[in-house]
Amino acid sequence: MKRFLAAALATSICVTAFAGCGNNNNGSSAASASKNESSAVSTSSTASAATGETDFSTQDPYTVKLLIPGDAKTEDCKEVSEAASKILQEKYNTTLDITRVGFGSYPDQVNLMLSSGEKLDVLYNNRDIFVSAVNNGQIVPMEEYLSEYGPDLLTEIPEERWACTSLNGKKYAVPANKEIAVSWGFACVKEMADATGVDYSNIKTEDDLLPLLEAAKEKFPDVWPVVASYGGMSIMNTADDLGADIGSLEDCTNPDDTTVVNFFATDTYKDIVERRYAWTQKGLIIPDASSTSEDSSAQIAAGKGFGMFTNTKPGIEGELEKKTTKEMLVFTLTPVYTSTTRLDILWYIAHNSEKPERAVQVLNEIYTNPELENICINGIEGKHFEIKDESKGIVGYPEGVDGTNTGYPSYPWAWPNEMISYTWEGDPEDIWQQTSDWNDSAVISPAMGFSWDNSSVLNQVTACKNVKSKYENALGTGSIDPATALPAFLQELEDAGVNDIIQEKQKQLDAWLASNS
Amino acid sequence: MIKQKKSLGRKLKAYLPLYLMMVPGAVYLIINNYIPMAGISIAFEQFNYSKGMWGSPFIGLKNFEFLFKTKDAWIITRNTILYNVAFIVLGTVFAIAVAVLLNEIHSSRAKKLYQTTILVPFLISIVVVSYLVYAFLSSDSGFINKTLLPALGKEPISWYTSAQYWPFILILVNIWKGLGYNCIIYYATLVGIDRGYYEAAVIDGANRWQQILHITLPALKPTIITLTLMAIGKIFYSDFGLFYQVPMNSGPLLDVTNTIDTYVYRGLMSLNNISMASAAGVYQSLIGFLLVLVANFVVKKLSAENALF
Repeated sequence: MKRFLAAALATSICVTAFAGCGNNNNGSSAASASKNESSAVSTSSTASAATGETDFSTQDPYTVKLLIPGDAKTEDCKEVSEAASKILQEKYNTTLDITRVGFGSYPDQVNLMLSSGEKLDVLYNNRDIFVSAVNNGQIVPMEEYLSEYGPDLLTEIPEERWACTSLNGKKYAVPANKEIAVSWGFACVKEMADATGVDYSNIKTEDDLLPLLEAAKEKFPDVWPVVASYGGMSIMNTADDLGADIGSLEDCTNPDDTTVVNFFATDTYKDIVERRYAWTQKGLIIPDASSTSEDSSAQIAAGKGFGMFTNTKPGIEGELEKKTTKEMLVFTLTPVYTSTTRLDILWYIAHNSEKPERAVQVLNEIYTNPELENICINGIEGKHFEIKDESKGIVGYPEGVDGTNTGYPSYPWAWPNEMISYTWEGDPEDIWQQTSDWNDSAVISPAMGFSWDNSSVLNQVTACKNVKSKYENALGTGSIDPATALPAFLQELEDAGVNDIIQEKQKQLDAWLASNS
Repeated sequence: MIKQKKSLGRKLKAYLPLYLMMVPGAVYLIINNYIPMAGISIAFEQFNYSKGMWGSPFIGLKNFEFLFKTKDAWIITRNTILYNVAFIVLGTVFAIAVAVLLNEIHSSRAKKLYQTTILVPFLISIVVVSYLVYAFLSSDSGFINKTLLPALGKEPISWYTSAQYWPFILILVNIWKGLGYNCIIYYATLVGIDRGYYEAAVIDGANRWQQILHITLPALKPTIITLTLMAIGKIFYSDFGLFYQVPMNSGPLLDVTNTIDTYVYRGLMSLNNISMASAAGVYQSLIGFLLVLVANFVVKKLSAENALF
């Protein structure tokens, strides 16, 4: 028996000993090759010197490593990095190394890079990690570098937006300049909606959708009127979750109400989940909605679904059309509103950056220099994009290239300032103007600029998250009966300490309101 | 004195090849299993990336609180242990049964065919398995709801929101998946049993059943005990894929599908709190360690020569 044990042990050793070696990250030296390319013949730096700014072109050479999601090829990233470095080299004696990682593995990759101490300077991430990343020291404040190295960031980004990315009085992240307001709605296939013959011109609330959905069900019995996305469905609401976690202003379009409540305990939420359960009973929502592992657009593209709940923004029809390959009709069901959470794409400085000031400098340049921003977003002209209309600034894919085979996919919204870049073919020509108007038209939450710090109630937050994962999707998609599930949900939240979170949030909010009035 | 030294030297010399063979394994264990143990300290700290492992503030047991905050701690501990007990008991019974049956087959071609067939599920990725299960259980297009239940004249069942069926489904899937691998180990032991015993038994007039009962099973006992002890060492760990992917991460099933691993994953994935995740890991290791000690103690009482240490 001992011999058998030894054999088993030996086998397992052989197998596992090699498992640890597979993880290396190439591409980190990508940009260093271009270091020697351009010398210090610079016209722009003299121009800036004339306006009284410091000449940065004689700084020590430095490479800024930037991380952003997207399934790009390593060679293409290298090429784009070189093109971007040309601009930065002249002005700042800095090279840029752009590394892209697929969306699916991005959060893990970010964590790995931040904890391994590997070189990283600037990174994209969404808002979710903001408070925790600040509290556990994964990112560093950029406050002290801004006046010298990021003066344009300071002036271009309004103070209200900086407030949303500050904690304890320090600025920690650059919010991406894009649509920062949201309204929720319902999108469906236009051709099918027309075929039902239902007059849909007057749909203003979720309840109004019923006749259309029922008609669609009758006309197309093989198609589910409403499909879910990865087990979830957007909740049509105007709540402000005050940065993160449970505890919201129920209706942030009402400037006088600053009471923090548990949104799941409100009548608004109850109405929604009851309605959706009733719809599921009528066969209007796809069964097992809470365990779908597909994107709703993909289900609509496959002819399995008629419509879905979605966020809306200028150009949303075009965006959905790209994904569903069908002409889409979008009903807006809530007012346009904005809150701290809506500034959802942030640019951070990693704690392992050797020269955070240079990282800020690069962010500053990307934010303000259209030429550089364009290279970063769209890649190399003629290879990844082509100018279709110079005067209007419209670009598209070159011949033979499309979203499925490009080596450098373009996600304008992920970069710091899409609004100074080209417009993509198929989007409205004045999309950036529309976006800007959209932002201006939004109702602003009374708590806009407030960022909540959950460090004192982390245990409760974790416990509540687990309760939420049990009920939130199942209730939100109408998969379980709210008559029994909703009270159970609320009770378990209470046991998990939801009231502690709400109390703490209210306390912080009141203090913030007092100091900001 | 001198004589003793000499014998020690001779002993060393005699065993030197064995020690050399041990070196790679020992080095691997030290690097991969012992050095990282320093990381346990993270569980008692409020970890800060900028300050590092040695500079972060010490906060005692505060990181462990979230596990025991709600009745979840009880549910996930219960699920983890009960599922593993079921897997160990039923898994062993089925694996031995199949190994014995395989051993009774005489055509070597048929034997190879069966062996390969039952090993295939073990090689399938759990993500693929989850879709195989989905193909059976889906309300929209599943085999059971669309074909089987209507044929029996029964109402369709919404499997992914009905928790009561899942303990059986998960155990079934686990046994189906692990059977081939476990059975190979038992089968290898069976092949090694001296044919002489069987011949003697036949002469004494024993039938097939008596041969299995009095020769095969006793011969398997050491293997059963070793494998069971090793499984008990992992009783506090769960196959993440089985409990997360196969139920399609469906919320209403959580009461019966949540184990320590999935709980920690759900709670901490977005929180990004490495200290609390380590705390859960420490809790898991500690209880697992205690269980191995207890199991070994019990084995020692029952049959001393088969105990691990």
